[in-house]
Formats: sequence, structure tokens, C-alpha cells
Amino acid sequence: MKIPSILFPLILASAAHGASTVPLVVESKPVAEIVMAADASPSIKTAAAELQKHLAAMSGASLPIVPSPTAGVANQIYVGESDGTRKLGFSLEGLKHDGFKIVAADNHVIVAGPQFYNFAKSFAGFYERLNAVPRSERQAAWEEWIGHKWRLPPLLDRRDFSEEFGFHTIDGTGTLYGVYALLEQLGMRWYAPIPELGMVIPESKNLSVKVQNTSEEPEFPVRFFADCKVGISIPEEFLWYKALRVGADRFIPIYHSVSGPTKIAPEEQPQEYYGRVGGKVDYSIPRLSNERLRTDMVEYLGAVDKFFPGIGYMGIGQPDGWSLLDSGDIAAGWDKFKERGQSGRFSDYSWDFTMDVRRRLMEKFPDKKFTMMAYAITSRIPSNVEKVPDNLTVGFTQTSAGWSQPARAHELTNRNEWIAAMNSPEQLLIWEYYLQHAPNYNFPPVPVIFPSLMKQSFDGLYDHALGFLAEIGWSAGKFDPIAANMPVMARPWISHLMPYLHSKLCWNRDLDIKATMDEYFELFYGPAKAEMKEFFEFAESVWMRPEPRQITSAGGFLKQADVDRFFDILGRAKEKAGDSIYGRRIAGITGEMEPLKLLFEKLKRTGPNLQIKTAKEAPVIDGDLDKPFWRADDPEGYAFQPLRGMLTGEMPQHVETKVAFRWINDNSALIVGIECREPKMDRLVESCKDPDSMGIFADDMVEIRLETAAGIRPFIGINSAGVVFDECVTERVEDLPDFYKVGAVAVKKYPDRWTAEVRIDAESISGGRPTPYYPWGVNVCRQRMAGNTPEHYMLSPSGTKFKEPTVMGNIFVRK
Amino acid sequence: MTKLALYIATLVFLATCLPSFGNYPNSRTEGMELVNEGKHEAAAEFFIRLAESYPNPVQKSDALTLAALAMAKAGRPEEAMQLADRIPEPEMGELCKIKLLEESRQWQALADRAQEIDLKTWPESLIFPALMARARARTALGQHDQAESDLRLALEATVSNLNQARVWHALAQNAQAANAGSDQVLAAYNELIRLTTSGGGMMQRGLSERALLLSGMGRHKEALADLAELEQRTNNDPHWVCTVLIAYGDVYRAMDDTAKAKSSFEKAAAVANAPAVQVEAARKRLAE
Repeated sequence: MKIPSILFPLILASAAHGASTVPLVVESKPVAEIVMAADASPSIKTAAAELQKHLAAMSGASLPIVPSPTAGVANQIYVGESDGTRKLGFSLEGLKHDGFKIVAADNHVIVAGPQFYNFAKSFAGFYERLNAVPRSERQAAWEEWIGHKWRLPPLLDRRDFSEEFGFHTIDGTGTLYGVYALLEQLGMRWYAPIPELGMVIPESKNLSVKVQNTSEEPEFPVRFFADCKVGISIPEEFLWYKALRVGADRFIPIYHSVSGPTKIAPEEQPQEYYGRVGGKVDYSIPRLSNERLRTDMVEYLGAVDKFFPGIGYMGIGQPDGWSLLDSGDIAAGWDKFKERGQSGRFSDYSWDFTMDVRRRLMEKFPDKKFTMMAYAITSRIPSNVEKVPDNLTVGFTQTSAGWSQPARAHELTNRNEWIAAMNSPEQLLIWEYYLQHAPNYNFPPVPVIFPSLMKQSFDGLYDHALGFLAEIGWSAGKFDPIAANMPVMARPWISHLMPYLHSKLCWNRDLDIKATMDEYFELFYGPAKAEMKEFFEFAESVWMRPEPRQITSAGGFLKQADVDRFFDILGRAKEKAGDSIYGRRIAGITGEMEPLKLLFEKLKRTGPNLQIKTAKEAPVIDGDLDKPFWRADDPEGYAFQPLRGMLTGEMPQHVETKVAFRWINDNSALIVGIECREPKMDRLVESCKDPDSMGIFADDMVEIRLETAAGIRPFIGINSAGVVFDECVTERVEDLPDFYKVGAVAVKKYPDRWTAEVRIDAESISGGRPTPYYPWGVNVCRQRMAGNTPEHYMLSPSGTKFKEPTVMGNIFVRK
Repeated sequence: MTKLALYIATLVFLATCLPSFGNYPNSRTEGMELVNEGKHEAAAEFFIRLAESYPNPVQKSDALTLAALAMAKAGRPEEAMQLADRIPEPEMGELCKIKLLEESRQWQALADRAQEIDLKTWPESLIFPALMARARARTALGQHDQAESDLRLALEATVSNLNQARVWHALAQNAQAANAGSDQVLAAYNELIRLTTSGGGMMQRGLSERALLLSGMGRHKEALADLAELEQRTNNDPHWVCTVLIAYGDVYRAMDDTAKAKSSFEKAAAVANAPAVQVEAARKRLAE
């Protein structure tokens, strides 16, 4: 779609000054041709075709593509290097990474940069072989090829390779970036990967390129959006990433390679690969201290290197979702939770493994470099590292969009700890998550706008990192982008802006974000620019709030009033823009956000309403639920509510769990008593010994989840040994979750049951008396690990997981 | 409609309309109401749709189990078994088939199918009902020792007082069917009643049956005490009012107190809203 030429006086002006420009189109007639070498590689062919297509879209003139200059044609645009560019003395020498040059002088324009076909070099041969095997048999084929039942390595998603264009988004395509840069000079913009509406195409009968000798180099040699599946999407989306100059001059493998030997059919693998908890093998735990696993990792990575040639790195990466340690390794002191916190908990343990595997690999592959992950429980630098070895690149995972929340502030600190121990930018690669709108996150359609945080993140990385692997939420399942003529990117109307800014920052450390956004408001929303500026600035202010991202009926960063304001602004913007292209863009945003209107209605708690008893004073908390406090006015235990199966809601026939509540009349505390009937008391799993350790979530445990009328959300987990995990989500920035301590907890064991008795002090959680008008939300959950299989029960079953807030019930006292 | 408009309309539709089933447990409860109302065909259809709406294998298995049981109650056993064949969780599929065989009283087939209940690997939530069904089949087949063995295992497989009471009830019935001594049967009833101190249908059933057992053993005074206890717990429920009156009649008859027996049977036959089968039983006794 074209926009009126009146918006581009500069373009017309430059066309009018022939001496300082090279004309391409005059009065909608071509006065130039596109010269491309006959044997041009795929991305250069795409570059020439894109140039031709967009010049025609702007001016109505179609410039021919020819292999060499044609006599009688006034001007040439050379796309990519060729004999013609060499005759003109053009060279790419000295240009770093996958940058590009634009030279315009006399009667020619040259646009060229180096190409790095990473996919063709290291993956195409393998996938050609693999594609010959039926999809369902590919894992088996891989196992046959390498002689082990090991996982096919998820190094790079081949669905980001476009058959139509012949290259992958990981490929460095300098010439193509140069062509898009040239088109940007002429006024084009690629703001969103949406056909017809995502681009800004200025209309002009005259087009010319100003005389220049420009070169641009990326700030980072690796600028990749991983796993976007755009090779099988609409072409506009694949090319959008290229217009944002996404690519890399090399492929760096950061992946969960430890899962290679351990993930497939774990029961058939050597059991020594895996950790044990409570005497039972747990396949989610890699036993990184095990000699066999280390030996086999070396063999696995050697096999990967053989099948994927030309990759200069070998990736040593912990499994995804790893959160527990083998009991023996804990006894050996590898669990550093107390000293290093959750994000440094297993850093030393993982480092020991990584360094040993790296040492062994260096003996066989002395020229290789290596990668490792600083991810979740290994996010912090290990305690014993002064300098990271020169041949090691750390893949540091972060969610910079979340840095406004106190609980995520440590990410930047952790990253800086690593940077301080590095000698060069070659040692750090950022794995960034822009996944808020990925469907499986089930996040409401709120615009996630955080340019100031993004800038903060980038400013700390220039000269310190190789770049980014970033993940963007994509539409999963049965969504067919071709049929829908929409991108794979999830919620593209509200998601496109941040990847756009990210890519701009990858190329320009001095980017004026305010000016870039102002230009976006003007070019993309035209007459509604003021309203859309207001919209995005309001969206950023909402997103930057420190409150938790999880939105409930009473808490979280988004309020009902915000929803009203979002739609008020969009309504005003639409009124200004009418049914124009700008109005259609605003309608796209409005449509994606429409479900927000129902959000707060849906967030109402759906669990049971429980009128709870009161007591004059709090009891001694000793775990005894048979004492008069609980039984005096309820000898039959009718006030004890049963828990049902989490997934189905069925009442179990083999175990019983019951909970009762008492509110202390002076409004000082809520007392909770939970009885867990258990036929296998001798098999209770209670491996967690440390307070506030995530290890508790592998144990036999109960959870109490509350939400006061003020929106404060204490969470208390207690295992059968009486170890407590307590945290509280509040509205105050200074209240980090770790700061909350529950009043008192006691666990008592009997031959056929264990009980937990808890005093939750009201004052510390702003907990006013729960009344029918202002009840507290509540759920109580039990995880049973003593049985043959894990079992989960809830007072108000969610059908999904323990922490679903909408299924909470309400507790209140009548008077 | 343009593709954009269609896309937006689809987004809105997906967000607002698609989850015709919300939270699985709540939807399940909705389906169970159809079962409780005796609308088995409708319940089967409901649970089949529920199974199609939830990819989680446990939920899908649960919904298909309920669909199969409803289909069986609707008198379509072959379709019920076909539904059971579609259950993705193997042990849940086995239990469903066991329940279908129990429903159709195919005791030998049930006993054969339930041979391989693995107490070490099966989810424990399934072991108890599977053992109970197998015990019931073995009792019916006259395999009383094996039935008792199953019931002893079932006792260990549950901590629920109510379910343990159910086991003791089954043990009592199995012992009676095996012509075991009255003391053994009585001991089972005693356990049943000990475990149901807070009342409920199982306790009432235990009291009425123990009363008749005690009466048969000549311990009429204790039998009458049980019935007096039961009388206090009927809550004017016509079923239990009728039950206790018939039991009184049986005990008085055993005590050769014909007048009181007749009076009890007459009262039983006159209980308003009592189940027809009980009224008939009372009338039959009067006629004897």
C-alpha cells in the first residue's frame, strides 16, 4: 500500500538535484537497470528481486535485472559483487561481519556485502539426508547413523530455511541488507511482518539515490531470532526478518546437548546418567558428576560435529527444565543454594562438568571453540571462576522485558558478573526471550512495550557480546500462515514493534529510540500518530509496573481501568484514521486486544465459597489437629474440606487429604490445618532440607495459596519433613518474594498420616478480616510422591496446575 | 470479508467462544449430573465431546471411561467397549474394561482380565477399585479364598475409613458366601461399624446386616440394640425407615414375637415413598 508523496518532500528534492543524486526513475519511467552477476547466490538474487519489486511499488516503473550493463541505459544499480563492480574498483575489503556498502556516484549505484551461508555449510547436507527418511522414522535413522539411542540434536530449526528463497534466516546476507537499507533511504519501512499493511511504501514518480559512499556494519555478528518457523510462513514474514537485517556471520550452537544421551528412552540408557531422589531414579536429573555421562557426552558431541560440518563450536548445554540434584551430589556439597541463591545454585556443578568435557574435547578437537549455558539455576557465574577461558562462549539467558520486576532484577547483575570475567566479546552470546505472547504462555493480549529496558540491556552489551539468539512467540498448532495470509508471529499487531527496535539496536548503538518511535507513529499511523504515541507510551507505563505479571481479579500489573483506557485511546485513534490504511492497522491492534475486555470477568474466582470458623486465640502450632482448638466445636471434623484430583476433580479412593481453616477473632491470623492420610509413610519423599529451596517441589508436600482482598499473595509450601518454602507477591517494589516468612509451621507424623499446621499472620500480608464482600482467595494443594506415580490434589481442582489463580475458592467469616 | 477482518474475527472467536468446556473438573461435574439424573445417553455424548476437547491423556482417559460407563448403562455394551479401547492411558483403559465387565456381571471375564493388576507399577488411584472389582468377581465365582486375598490387599491400598469399611463389608459378604463361621462374619461387620463412626449409608447398612446376623446367632438383644441405633440415624429417609422396620420384623420373628413382627412389617409396608421393592418385601413377609 502506498502513502501520499507529500510525506516525502526530501525524496523529491533529492531527485530534483541531479548532480548530487543518481536517478533511477523519472516520471514513472525507468532510467536505470539492476545489474546482478549471472551466477549470483540465492540471497543476492532475492536482493535484486526485492529491489525491483519495491521500486516498482513506489514508482510504477519496473527496472530490468540484467547480468551486465546494457548500452544506452543511463544508470546501473549493481546488486552484489560482479565483474562490473570490480571494474569500478569496488571492494568489500575491510568490511566486518555481514555488513554492506552502498556506493552511489556518477551513473551507478553499488549495493553489496558478504554472504555467509551458514545453513548450506553445516546443515543442508544433513537435512537432505534426513528428509529422505519418513518423518516418523527420523529419530530412529539418526540412532542408526550414530550407533546410539541418542537424541537428534536440535541445533537449528530447518523451518527457518525458505525453499522459495534458498537461504535461512541465520544466514548472513550483506547484499540483501544493503538493498533494504537503500530502500529505507527512499522512504520504505518494514514495521510489521503483515502483508499489505506491515510495510510503509512511499509513492513517487521520481526516484533517485543520493551520492554516497556508505558502509554499515552490525554491532553484533550474531543477530538471530531462533525457531520462528518463517521458512514455512508467508514470504512477507521471512523477508521482514531480512529487512531487519537478521542473520549472522557464523552459527553458534547453544542447546541442551546433555539431553542428547539422556533424553530418549531414559529407562534404556545407563541408569548412572541420572540422579536419584529419595532412593528413586529421577530422569529429570542429569548426574553431571558421573564418569559415564561425561565420556558419552564427548562421543555424542563428536558425532554431532561429524554430521554437521563446518561449525566452529561445540555446545555443552544443560537439559531444559533441570531443577534438582542427585542426593549423592547434594551430600558432596554441590548444591550451593544457601551460598549462591537459586540462580547460582548449580553453577559450580555445571561448570565442573563443562570444563571437564571441554578438556576432553580439546584433546580430540584442538581447534574448536565451545559454548555453555548460563540458564536458570546456572545463571550466575560459578564461584571459582576468575576468567572465562578464551575458547568458551557463554550463552546467557535473559528476559530483559521483565527487568522492571524486582524478582528479575538479578539478571543484569548476573550478566555483569560474567562480563567482568571475560576477555572479549567473543565469549558472550545472549539468549533473549520475547515470548510473552507465545500461545502456550496463555498471556492476555497486553502490548509488551519496554524500549527503555531494551536500551539498558543493549547498552551493557556493546563491545561485550557476540550478539543475540532471541525467541519470539509464534502461533502454534493448526495455524496455517499461508491460508490465513498472516505471519507465524503470535499477535503480530501488538508484537512487531519490539523486534523492530531490537534489530535497529543491533546495528546502531547510537540509535535515537525516541526519534525512531516518533517516525514509526507518523509513518505507520498517519493522522492518528498522536493517539498511537499515547497508546504505546501508556502501554510502556503499564508494562513497567513492578507488580507481578500474573493478573488476578485483585492483583497483578494490569487493572480493569487500564483496559478501559487502552480501548478509549484506540477508539479515538480509529476515529482519526477512519477506514484508511492507518485505520486498518489500528483495527488490527484492536482486534488482537479484544479478548482483554473479557479478561477481568474471566478472572473471577470459580472455586467454592467456604465460610470458615473463628477462634478466640491462636493455638500452639504443633501439628496436632486432634486438639480442642480444631475439634471442640467440630468433633466429627465436618469443617475439614476434602481435596480432589487436580486433573479430573475426582475424589481419590486410596488416600485422603483434608483442610480446615480458623480465623482468629482479634484479626491477627489465619490458622490452617491440613491432614494428609498416607498408606506408605515409609516411602515419603522429603529430600529437601533447606528452607526456601525449590527442591521442595520434588517432595511429598502441601501448598497453601492465598490472595487477600488487597491482592497480596502469600504462598507457603511445606514438605512432610516440615521444611518450608514461603514467599509473598506484593504490590510494593521493595518486598521481594524472599522476604516473606510465614508466622509458624509445624508438621506431625502418625503411622497412617502426616499433618501440617500453619499460622499465617494477617498484618504482614495486609490481610484484613475475610468477609463475604471481601473474601480471601484460597487453594490448598497436595503433591504425593510416596506412591507408584506422582499424584496431585487440590481443594479447588484446576484441571491444569496448582498455581492457577482463577480456580481459587473464597474463604470468609460470617461476622 | 477481507482476510484481515477474518483473522481478527477468528481471534475474537477463539478468545471468547471456543472453550465450550472450561476447567475440566467443572465440566466433569456437569457431566456427572447427567449420570445422576439417569440420562446415560446424553452423558455418554457429553463425555465423548469432553474427551475430544482435552489433549491431556489423563483427562481424555477419564472422560472416555465415564463415556464408556454411561454407554454401558444406556444398554450399548459394544460401543462402551469400543470407547474403552480408545483410552490412551493403559492402566486407566484396563480399569475401565474391568468396570464394564463388572457392570455386565461377566465375572469370569472380569477375573481373567484383572489377573495382571500390578500393585507396584499401577497408579495407586486405580489399584483399589480394580481390586474391589476382582474380589467381587471372585466371590461371585465361588473363589472365596482369592477374593479374601484381594480384599486384604484392598485394605492396604486405601487409607480412607469409608473405603476400608466397604472392604470389610465385602469381606463379610464373601465370608457368608463361603459359609464361614458366623464369628468371622461378625468380626468383619464389627470392623465396618468401627470405621464408620460418623454415620452414613455404609454404617446403616452395616448395622442392619449385623443385626440380622446377631439375630441368627441367637443374640437378639444385641440385634435390637443395633436396630435402635439405626433407627436414630434414618433421618426419616423412607428407604432406611422401611429397612429398619423390616429388620425389626425379621428379628422379632426370629424371637417368635409374631405380633411385634407383624406390626413391624405392616408399618414397613405403609412407609410413604419407600422403594417398591422394599414395600413388596414387607408385604411378602406379612403373607408368610
